[in-house]
Parts: sequence; C-alpha cells; structure tokens
Amino acid sequence: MNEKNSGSTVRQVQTPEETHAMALLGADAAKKKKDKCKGLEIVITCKPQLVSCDPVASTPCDPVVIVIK
Amino acid sequence: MTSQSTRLRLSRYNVEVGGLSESGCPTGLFNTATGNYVALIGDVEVAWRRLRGGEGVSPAEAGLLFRAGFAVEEQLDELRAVRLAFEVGRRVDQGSHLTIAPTLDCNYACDYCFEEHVPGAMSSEVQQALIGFVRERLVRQQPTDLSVTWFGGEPLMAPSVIRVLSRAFQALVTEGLLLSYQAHTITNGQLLRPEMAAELLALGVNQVQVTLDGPREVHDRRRTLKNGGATFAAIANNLARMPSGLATVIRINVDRSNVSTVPRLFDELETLDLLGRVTVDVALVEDFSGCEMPSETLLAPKEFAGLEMEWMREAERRGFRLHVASPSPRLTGVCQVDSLNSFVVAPTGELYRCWAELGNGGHAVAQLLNRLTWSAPEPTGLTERDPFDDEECLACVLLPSCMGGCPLLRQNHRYWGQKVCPSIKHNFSEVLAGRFGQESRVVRYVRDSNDESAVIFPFAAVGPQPSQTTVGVPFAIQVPSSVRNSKPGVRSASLRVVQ
Repeated sequence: MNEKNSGSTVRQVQTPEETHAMALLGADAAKKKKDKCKGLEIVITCKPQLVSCDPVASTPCDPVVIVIK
Repeated sequence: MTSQSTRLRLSRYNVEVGGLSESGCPTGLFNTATGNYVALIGDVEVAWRRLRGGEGVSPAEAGLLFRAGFAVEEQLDELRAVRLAFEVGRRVDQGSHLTIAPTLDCNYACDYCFEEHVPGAMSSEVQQALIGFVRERLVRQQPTDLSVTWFGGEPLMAPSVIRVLSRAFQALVTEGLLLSYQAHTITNGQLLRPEMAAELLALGVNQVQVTLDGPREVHDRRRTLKNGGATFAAIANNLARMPSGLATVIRINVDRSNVSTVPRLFDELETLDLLGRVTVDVALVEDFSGCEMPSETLLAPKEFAGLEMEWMREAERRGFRLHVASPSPRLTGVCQVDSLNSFVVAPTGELYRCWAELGNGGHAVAQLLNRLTWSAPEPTGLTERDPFDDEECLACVLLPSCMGGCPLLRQNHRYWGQKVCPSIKHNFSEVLAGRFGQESRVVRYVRDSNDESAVIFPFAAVGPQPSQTTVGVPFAIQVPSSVRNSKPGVRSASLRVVQ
C-alpha cells in the first residue's frame, strides 16, 4: 500500500520482524515516557543505515517515518 | 470465531531468574527484549514445569506466554527484529539531555581523574549560544523534555553559569517551548553548603551526586584538595545539612586499593546518620583508554559483580538504598551517545557525545559559536558503532538489554584486542530476582487480545530447558485470527517506511 506523506511515498511495512521490532520499541518508548505515550508519534527522517543524515540537515536522505498510535 | 494454527516457540531472550526453589523451578522468567517479567508461582510455575517436562499447558497460560512475548511465532527472526528496533530506536528523538560543564576547573586532585583541569568558566557568549541552541535546534517544531546534568571539573566552582542557564531553561518551560525541565548535579560536595543546595533546588536541580571513596582515612587519601588537604569532613558536614527535596546519591568509586573498605564506609555513614537518607551507588573505576586491562589496580567486572551482590545483601540487612543497575531493554539506546538530541557541552562551546571525550577537541561534533555546525553534528565512531558485529554478542541472551555496554569502553577494548563484558552479565539473575522478588507480573509489552480462551494447547515436543536460557524450542498452539492479525504494541503499532 502506498500513500503520500509530506511529499514522500509511504509504503506500509509489516514483515513479522518489523512488526515485532515496532512492538518492542513501543514498549521501550512507553517505559521511557512513563506510560504517557498513547498516541505517541515517533518520526525520524533518515534510514537507520544512512547515519550521516540529520533531521534538520540539508543533506538529502531517505526518510523513515514511524508512527505508534 | 475462526481459529488458525500457528507454530510458536519460546523466545530466545527468555532468562530464568533467581536460584532453584524447593520445587525445582527458578523464581521468575524475564525477557531481555521485552522487559517483561513473570514470577514462577502458582499456576505459572506449574505451567513452566510442564513446559520443561515436554507437556502441554492450559489455554490461559499459553495465552500469557504468547501475548507477553515469552513465546513468539516459530518463523520470527527475533535477532533481526531486535536489530531493526535498535537501529531505528537510536535515531528517534525522545527528549533531550545536556551534560553541561560550566567549568573544567576543579578544587580537587583525585588520583584517578581522567580530566585535564582548565581554569576559567563558560563565557557569556557561549552561555547565550547554548540557550539559542536549545531554543532553535533542540526544541525545533515541537516542545520536548529537557534534562541537564551539571558536570565538570567541579560545576559548583562556576555557580553563576548554572544560575543563568537554569533560569533560561526554566523560562522556556514557562514559554511552552519545553514540556519539562529537570536537572541533577555531579559534585565533589566541597562547596555544597546549605545555601548553595537550597539555590540548586530552586534552579530545578532535584538530585545531587557526591563522591565518597571510602571511610574517612581512605577517602582523604584518594580525593584531596589541590594542596593535599583532607575533604571528608567538609563533605559530611554539608551532606548532614541538605535540604529536604534534594535527593542525594553517594557515589563510591572502587578499585583494588579501596574496595575492601566499602563496608566500613557504610558503618561511618550510619554513625553520621546519613545512611538512611541517601542512595548509595558503588561503581567501578574504569579504564577509558582500554590499554590497562587487565590491570593490577582495576577490578574486573566479574569480580565487581560478586562484590555487588554482597553489598546488595548488606543493604537489605541494614535497610538502606543501594543502586544496582538491572537488565532492561536498551532498544532506544545505551546512553546519551545514542540520542540525537543529547550532547556534552564544554565551557568553550564544543559539543561532544560522550562524557569521557569532554575537553578533547578532536572528538567534538559541533561548536556552539559556529551556527553552521548546529544542524548536522558529525557522526562519530561511537554513534555509528555496530553492537551486532560480534558473534558472541549475537548469541548472548542479554544482547537486547546490553547492546555491547558502554560504547567507549567497548570501542577502546576492541582497539586493544580485548573484550570485557559489563558486570551485569555475571549477576543478572540475582539482580533481577532482587528487583522483581515482590512482584508477580511486570508486563509492559502486550499483544492486543482479550481472548485467552481461544488460545489452546497442545504444545508439542518441548524438552527440558537449560538452566539459564530457553532458546528456540518449537511448539504449536492455535491462535485465533483476531489475535494473529492484530498489531502488537502498547496498543497497536504500524511501521511505515517512506521511500
């Protein structure tokens, strides 16, 4: 499934590993946020492996958007 | 309701906790990836014994294991999932932490200090640049939480810097740019007089950490004034007059020369009526250069882990608070090195990722006085390290709760061809038993489903488990499609990759 988000193409990713990773991250985020993360939206704008990018840098990078609702 | 058979296996990250009970079972089960814990008592203990004996379990018990992450789909590559979570998690903004050194000067001359002390304090120009950096770079589009550690040198030698910056950060909360602000101070305690402590409290500091490296004669040998003068009495006097509301941690840095004196420090703190009013934190003196391990002076992590358990039992017997790090998932990072919006701030304006780099200009990732560097701090060997490049770590059940430990120690030890696992590897079972001993369930990762009754056995071919870990034994249960297709997470979750 593709959709547009802020000018970028968004593809729904749901491999078992990605789904499990999201659940683990959600639990970790919940712990750090002291369970205040219902509706939490986590957005990062670089693919993890493209580590030279920065959220506010002008350097183009492949963004990743993660949403935990 | 339609049901569909799904083959499951126990998670490779399950850890049995505590010693064996009379019934032959450990006291609890912990998962290092989810952080979930369940006490092996009552029905759960019975179920676990059945699993170890190759028998089936009840629907409710099977439901708990699956939904709480102690069991996973057979085909799931858990290691890959943990890796993905870590790679994503350490790039996620989750608040900001600044470790600020108002000065690198110090009034002490401790024999093991790794810093080079430089006279002078942070200039007004750097202070204003730091306030601008927080306002424009860290807050950006949306408010965030900010926490600060006042560090040094000795931070209380530059109180005016703490005053100016704290008031500026508190004002950002009033403006609505920061969601919250809190701070703590690491100080040698010499200047922590009652009026200073009260002012720190008013400036948002809610905790101070003061170092006492042993009973009076031992401390006074290791931590002296620059002129060689003793310091224990002044610190103890200040600690006795701390205002309520300002939590106090007494840090004890230990190596072979003072480790045997720790119980005597407990005695002395008790005599001074301090022991019940503070939290005690005993820590290893580490070699951040990596070239002196193994060392005749430094304790090995395994030795420290054993001693830590003795101190933990002593704390329980005497009734005081001892801080002992407990395994917990580190999927969003090991320390502030793994936080995009966390920095160590030198009084000259350089920004670093790690405390131990402070003052070493070659490791700076940005400079507050150069706005062009604000938006894209340089990646470093620490921020780009790969905790998954070690075969032993890949096979370790503690990996999700360790991620290689301190990034700097890991890097330096590897440079010198050594490998040193954190002390928690050697005492995690006892530490976890102590942490969760009074609780029956701590579950923070839950798959969405209220329908346990539809999860039915039989399990298949579950053999006896190793004493410490349970890895990869497949079994089968039937899971309703409503559960299989639900998105696991705090409530639910989705992952979208923007291409």
